[in-house]
Parts: sequence; C-alpha cells; structure tokens
Amino acid sequence: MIAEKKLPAKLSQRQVIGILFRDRAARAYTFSALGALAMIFVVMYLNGSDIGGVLVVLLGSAALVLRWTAMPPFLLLVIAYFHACPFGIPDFGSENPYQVRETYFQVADMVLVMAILVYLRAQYRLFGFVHQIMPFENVFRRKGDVPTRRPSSHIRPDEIAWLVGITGGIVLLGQGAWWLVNALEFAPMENFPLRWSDPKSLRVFRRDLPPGEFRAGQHRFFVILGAMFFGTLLLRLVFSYWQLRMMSAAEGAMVMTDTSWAESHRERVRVEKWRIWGRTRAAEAAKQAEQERKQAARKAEQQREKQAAKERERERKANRAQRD
Amino acid sequence: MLTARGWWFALIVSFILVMGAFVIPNYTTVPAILAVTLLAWFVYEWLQFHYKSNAAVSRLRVRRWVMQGGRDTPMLWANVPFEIRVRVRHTGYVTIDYAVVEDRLPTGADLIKGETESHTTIGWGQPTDVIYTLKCPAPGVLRFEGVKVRVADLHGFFYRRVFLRDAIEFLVLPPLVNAEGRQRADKRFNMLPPPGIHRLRRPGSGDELHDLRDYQPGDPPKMIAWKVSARKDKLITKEYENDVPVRCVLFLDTSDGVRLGPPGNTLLTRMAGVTAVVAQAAAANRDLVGLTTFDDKAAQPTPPARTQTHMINVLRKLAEVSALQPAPTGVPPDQLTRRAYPLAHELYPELMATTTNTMPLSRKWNPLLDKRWGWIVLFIIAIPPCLLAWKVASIMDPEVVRLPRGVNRVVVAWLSNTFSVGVRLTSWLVGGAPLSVRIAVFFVFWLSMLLTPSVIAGMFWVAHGISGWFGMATAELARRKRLAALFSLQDGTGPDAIERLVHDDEAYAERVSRFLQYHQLRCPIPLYDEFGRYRFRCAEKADVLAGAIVRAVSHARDNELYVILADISELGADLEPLVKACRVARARRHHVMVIVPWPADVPSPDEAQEPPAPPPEIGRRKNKKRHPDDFLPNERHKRLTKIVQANLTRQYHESFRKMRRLLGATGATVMRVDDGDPVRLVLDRLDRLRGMRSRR
Repeated sequence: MIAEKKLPAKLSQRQVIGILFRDRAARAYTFSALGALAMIFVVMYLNGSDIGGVLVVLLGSAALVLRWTAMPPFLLLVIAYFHACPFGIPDFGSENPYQVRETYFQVADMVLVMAILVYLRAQYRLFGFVHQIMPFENVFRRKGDVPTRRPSSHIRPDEIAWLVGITGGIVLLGQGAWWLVNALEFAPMENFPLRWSDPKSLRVFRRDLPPGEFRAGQHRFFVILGAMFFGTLLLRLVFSYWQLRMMSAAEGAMVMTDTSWAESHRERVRVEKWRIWGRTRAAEAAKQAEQERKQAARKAEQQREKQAAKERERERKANRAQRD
Repeated sequence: MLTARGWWFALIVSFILVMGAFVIPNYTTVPAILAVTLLAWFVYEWLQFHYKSNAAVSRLRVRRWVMQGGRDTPMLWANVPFEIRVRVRHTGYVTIDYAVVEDRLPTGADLIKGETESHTTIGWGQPTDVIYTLKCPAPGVLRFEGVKVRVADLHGFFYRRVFLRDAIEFLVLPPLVNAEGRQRADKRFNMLPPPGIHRLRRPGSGDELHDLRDYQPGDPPKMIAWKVSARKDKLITKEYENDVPVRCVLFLDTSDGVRLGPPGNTLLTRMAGVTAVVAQAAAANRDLVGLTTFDDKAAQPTPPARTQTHMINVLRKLAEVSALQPAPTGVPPDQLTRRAYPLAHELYPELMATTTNTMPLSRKWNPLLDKRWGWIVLFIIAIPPCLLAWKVASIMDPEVVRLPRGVNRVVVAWLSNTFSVGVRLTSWLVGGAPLSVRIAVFFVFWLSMLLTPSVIAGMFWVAHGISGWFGMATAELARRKRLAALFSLQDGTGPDAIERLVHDDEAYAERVSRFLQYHQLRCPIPLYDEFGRYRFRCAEKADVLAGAIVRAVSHARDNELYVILADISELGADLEPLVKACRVARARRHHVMVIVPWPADVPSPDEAQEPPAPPPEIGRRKNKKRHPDDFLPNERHKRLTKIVQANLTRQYHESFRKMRRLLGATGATVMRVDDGDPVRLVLDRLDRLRGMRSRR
C-alpha cells in the first residue's frame, strides 16, 4: 500500500492522488465523498438548482484532489444559498408562513443532509491522510514543522460502516431536534418557561399578539438560545468538574499558586519595584563611596608625596648647609 | 482544544443556523435543518472527544526499558547501540481512537534504527509500544524526559497534547578501550634510569633486598640473614623492598572553558575520552590509577586504586563530568526565555496552559504613575473636579478658605465662560424645549466643558494603560511570568517568587540557566564580555590544580606519573602556582605530563604560518580609484574577519608556546591532545616508569 511507505513531509500531487485512489483503505473514503457529492447533485437538481449542483460537485471534487481545506465550510454556504435561491439569482420567492410546519422528516431533506454529512465526514478524514490531522504546536507554522498525517494503515476495516451508521443516527437526531425546536413555545410568564405548541393553532401567525405572547420565529429564537446556553452550561459544569477530579497534584498546586498570585500581584509588583530601587540605590551609594575612598586615598598619597618632597628638600638644604 | 478547523466549521454552521432558523425559514427550512444536524454532529464529536480525553488521556501511563546487550541495564556504554522500549497504556475502559505517541529523544544520542513515534489506537488492555535503537557517540548523561502523546479526533476538530513525564537519567560510560589500549606493555624498555632518579625505598614484602638490620624479637626466623649473623656474631634480619606498583594520577579540567561546544563534542568530552582510555589501559597493566577533577572552584580527588569497582567509579565520574554544561552567565534574559519557554511548554504543557498559569489583563496594564510625568496627568485629572467642588463649597459656605487671588481669577473666568457657552449652546440646540429639559441639557453641556481636561487626561491614562496589552514586551512579560510560576512551583517558593523572578534579571537568569542545565538544553553563550575579554579563562583553576598536585605529591608513595589534562594555554602569568606545583612534583622525582586540548578551528602551532594576504592591488593609473572595501562591505567584513582570526590564532600560539616553555622548564612534558596519540605517550611513560623499577 502507498501509505505504508515512508512518505515525505510534503506530499506531491501525484502522491496525494495515489493515496486517494490507489490506497485500498483510503479510497473507501474517497468514493464515499464522491458518492455523497453525486447524491447532493441529484437532490439539488431535483430541487431545480442544477447550477448549484454542478458547482458543488466541481468544488467538492477539486477540494478532494487539491486539498483545499477551506472548501467544506464554503460548500455548506453554497448549498444553503442555492436552496434559498435555487437559480442562483438572489430572490427568495414567495413567503410561506407554514413552511416550517410542513417540512419535518421529509425524505429529500434527509437524503440531502445525510449526503452532506457523509461528504463532510469523509472529506475531513481524507484531509487527515493527505494534509494534516493535528495542528502545529505553535500558533504560526515555523520552519521545520512537519504536518502530522494519519497513516492509511491505521484505518480500521469497520470505519466506513460506523461512519454511515452514525451519520444516519445524527440525521434522525437533527430532524428530531428541528421538530422539537418548533414544537416548543417560550412562555416566560408560566411556572415552567416552555410549553408544547398547538400545531393546528394559528395564534402565532396573528398580527396583533396579546401581551406575553411571541411569534413563531421569536419562540424559535428563545428555544434555540436557551438550549444552547443551558446545554453549554450543563456540559461545561460536568466536564469542568470531571477535569478537576482528574487534575494532577502539580496542576492543582499551580492553580493555587496562580490564584494566590493573581489576587496579590499588585502588592507584590510594588514590593519588587521598591526592592529593585533599594538595591540600585545601595549599589550607587557603594560605587560613590568607593570613588570617594579612592579619591581620599589619592589625596592622601599626594599629601604624603608633598610631605616627602618637603622632607627631601629640607634634608638637601641641611646637607648643603652642613657642607658649607 | 478546538482546532482552527473546528472553529471555522462551528462558525459557518452557526451562521447558517442563524440565517436558516431566523431569516429564511418561511422560504426554505433546509439550511436550518442542515445547520441543526451539523451542530448535533459537532456536539456529538465534542462530547465524545471530551469524554475520551478525561476518561482515557488523563489516565495514560508510561513505562520504559533501556536494554543493552539484550538485557535491562542501569548504565550505558558510549558507541554501543542500545534499545529503548516505551510502553504507553491507560487504566480506563475507553478507547482512544487516534493518538500519536512520541518519545522525546534525549540530547547527545543518535537514532540508529526504528522510529520514535507511533500512530496508534490505545484501548483498554491494548498498550502501544515504541521501540527504537540509539547510540551515544560520547560519554555523558542521557536524560529521557518522557513521552509526548497527541490525541485528535479523526476529523481534526479537536486536539489535545499531554506529556507523560517519566524523567530518568542514564550514565553513558566512556567507551571501553580498543585493542591498542588493551595491549599489555610486555616489551620492557632496555634502558637504565637517568642519573639522579631513585626510587622511594621502603621496607616491604618485595623480592629485592633493601637493607639489613639488627634482629628484633618477633622477626620471623626465615628473615634472619644467617651468614651475616655468623660473621657479626649477632642476629641480623633481612629487609626486602616494598613492591610499590606504578601509580598514575589523572587531573582532568572541568571548568566552564572546556564545557563549551556542541553536546558530545566539547573539549571536556574529548579529554574525558583520553582519560578513560589511559585509566583502563593502566588498570589492564595492573597499575593504580587515580582521578582528580577540578574546576576554578574546587578539586575532587579519587585516590589511586586498581580494583574493578574503582575503575567503574572512575568511569562514572568521567561520564558525569562529561555531561557538565557551562553556566550561561552574561546571556540576556530574553534570550534565555526564548530557549526555556518552548522547552517548558513542551515538557509541562498542563502547567504552562493559559487556564492554569494565567496572565490577567490587569497585570499587563501599563501603570502611568511609574513615570514622573504620570503625576502631571493625574494632577490634570484631579484638578477640575476639585476646583468645582471648592467653588460649590464656597457658594454654600462663604467661610471656606479662599484661593490665591490670581488662581481665583482664572477659576472664576473659566467657570463664567463655560457657563455662558453652555447657556448659548442650550438655547441654540433646545431653545423651544420645556424648562426642565433645558436645565438638564445645560448642566450636561456645562459639566462636560468643565471636566474636559479631566476627561482628556483620563482617556490618555486609559490609552497608556491599554498600550501595555500589546507589543513584544507584553508577550515577553507573559512568557516570563509563566516560566516564573513554573519555577516557583518547582522550588516550592510560592507566589512570592513569581514577581521576584519577573523583576530581578539576575535571579531570573540564574534560575533559567539551572532549568536549562537540568534538562540538558544548551544556550548560545557570549564568549567575550563587553570589554572584549574572554569570559571563560577561569584563571583560578591554576591555583586549584596546583593545590591538587601538591596534595597528590604529599600522598605519593613512589615515583608517580601525573597527567594533567587541562586547558591552560591562555593562563599566562596566572600559571605561576602551577609551575611551582610542578617543580615540587619533579623535586620528588615524579613525572608530569600536560595534555592541552586544542580548539578544532585553530591550526597547529607547528604548522608554517601563511603570510597574510597582501592588500588588493589598486591601479595607480587613477589615483582617485576607491578601495574595494569602500563599496564591497561583504569583502571588507571577510577581510576583517580573516585579520581578527589570524591575530587571535597568533595570540593563542604565543600563549601556548609561553606555557610550554614555562612548564617545560620544570621538566614537565607538554603536548596537545590532537598531536599524535597522547594515550600512547602516557602509556609509554608508564612503561618507562615501570622499566626504571624493574631495571634499577
């Protein structure tokens, strides 16, 4: 197999194509991604968006072969746009207030979402083989950084089956979530702020709503916002607590030290500045004292020399006088 | 934990969700359903990764085996390959789908076979092994820090790196001697000892007769010299010479000057290699070998012996000193940080993470009052409200102390002018509004104008403070704080030490250098100080070495060989104590050999010096032609470098010759480590000593 050989840090396009189409383990993902793109094209074509379908297939295939890592999210935007505007012209058409209620668990939608999900999962996994599966250690890539790629020999035989199975489950979950979001209404005045909506009621479509009531879009907004907020909060609490439980002694000590420092860093900074200032002053004083000492020694030396010169002069005079 | 790929995906999906669920749901619901489904998938992957991260990654354990010669070994030999086996497992019940296990290669070892990283799945009861073979080219200490484990989901959305610290050190003993070193000196030199050389004679249990003396009660009868006793008519006892073996004491320089260089290729490593070969060859000849290591502070003697344990101890000591690193004194703190921070980040990722080792914005705030002019800004901020308050107080209570007349006039003018401007502005803007509105608007305008200096100065204060959040200095401060926190945790000094290390450059440099040495990471060190003097001359080591030689002489039992392996070429006048010590040793009939390490980039002093290249010819046709140095800076730089190098080489040769002359005058043999085979020379000298004894 291609991937079992030692591949260079930077793959050539030929090597990429070799991995994608000639490596037995990896090509299952390649064909899954291409099949998913074909399915997206069919659904979009049936929806009347043939340009969009072709665009998606072209861009998706190019991203697959040329390793365009930014393309999958961009394709999502393209698909969403061509669903809102099937002909590519920015015109949403006529508004249907009952659209939301009529679109639960529709086969075409489910097939499209499933195909997109399969494409994304396969494409991202392929990026792991031919581009990089882990980020670089540094924020910016440095010279000599080698991208980490998953070897295709690491692929388990049942990976594709699990991928498709889990994708199917997630598609059902997504449909259920969308139904739930629209089946619940936000009721801030009641004891429990959520209630089931009446699917046959037209109350939410009235122009003049009674006080404390919201339109369908507003209900959806509050439900989604609340679900995201409280869901994140709950998960965050659970995992943070778990993380604290798994924390090592050194990590715990670091948290304590850091917290203690953060609470008192202003005072500590002040103390250190004073200390440095004191040290600098002491050094300056010592230097000055040393200079003064040297100066005094030099003066004393000069004084001694003068004295000695005087003595010599006196002796010389005395000698001369004696001679005379 | 979330990668850039994950962030972009979450961002785009959120955007589609907002558009699909709130902007276009009455036209099409497919984008909303798609976004909700993708979000569900993202949350599923997130949950799965977090679950596995906590349940399995946090429970990873590592075990290491180092095998040489097919068995687990506590010590290694240089130049002999050895196998490393690293096993990573976890005690949880969850499977890590994809992990890259990478053993951190220690400094000073070469990878021979295998790979240090493995792409693997770590499940319960399914440990992963990394097996590879290393070889150490030089003696020293091999330090394995641990194993880096990187975990990611298969789509590259989430990522976590942990470092399983399993620090363990192995001594790499110098290589065993080669065939030449093992050779036993069977051939005796056919020579007599030079005139004046005598052995230190002591009575003992040798074969040669030493002296005769009167019998003392207790002397064994077999020692009685019967013929002499009969001749002298009294009992005489024979005394035999003490059979003292040849002893060799090796003095190895371990000062900072010889520690410089790339790991495994320092002067110290080369000298340690020579020492090891000499020690083993001498021991193979049943000679006693001692080792004294010294630097510019102290000497550590190991008395001569010839047991196997002693030899192992000598080799261990050589391995330990080979791993010594120069103290990175004089290195700027930011350069030390550049070395230490990535290392700390790699080895202690959880302690250097921004969640555990924080750097709050308030710490980065640039304090204004540290500057002298900051007090002026504070004065400008404070003075308008104070004056206003004083004016209000003086209106309320006329007994309030008045301001000086000039100041009072300025304040009154300022109040009245701003008041009139406020009135005009109010009547212009809201002239037709009710009275209460007009009064409110007037007060807003008036106070705004009154407090304008304070507001401007306050804004300046804020801008100055916020400027501390950006720039290289801030990044450096954050890195330094994180390192300081790590050090304070390791030293147990608590939060007090953090700010001390941040502020005190000396303490910080000392601690970082200790950290780097502990983890065997070398840092480029300036060789010359600001006055152009060589920093690693270590002149004090001559005193220490002289003391060690005199001590060895005082403990000597017979003519011994002292082999000094030291970088003393540049000591100059500071060699005086060493010269005296050599004289003492020679006066006691000991032999002294000095082996000096020689820098690889300096030519031999015995080679003929090339005359300096003549300056490039400049045509005289045009007197105004410019010198090539004026318009070719690279050429000029090259030429200058050559001149400096030539001068330095000449200076080094001069100092070496002076040293050789000084020590040679005492009778010591001086040679360079790269000149011929110093080991052979030492062994020959030992044989000569042995020959002197056997020939007498």
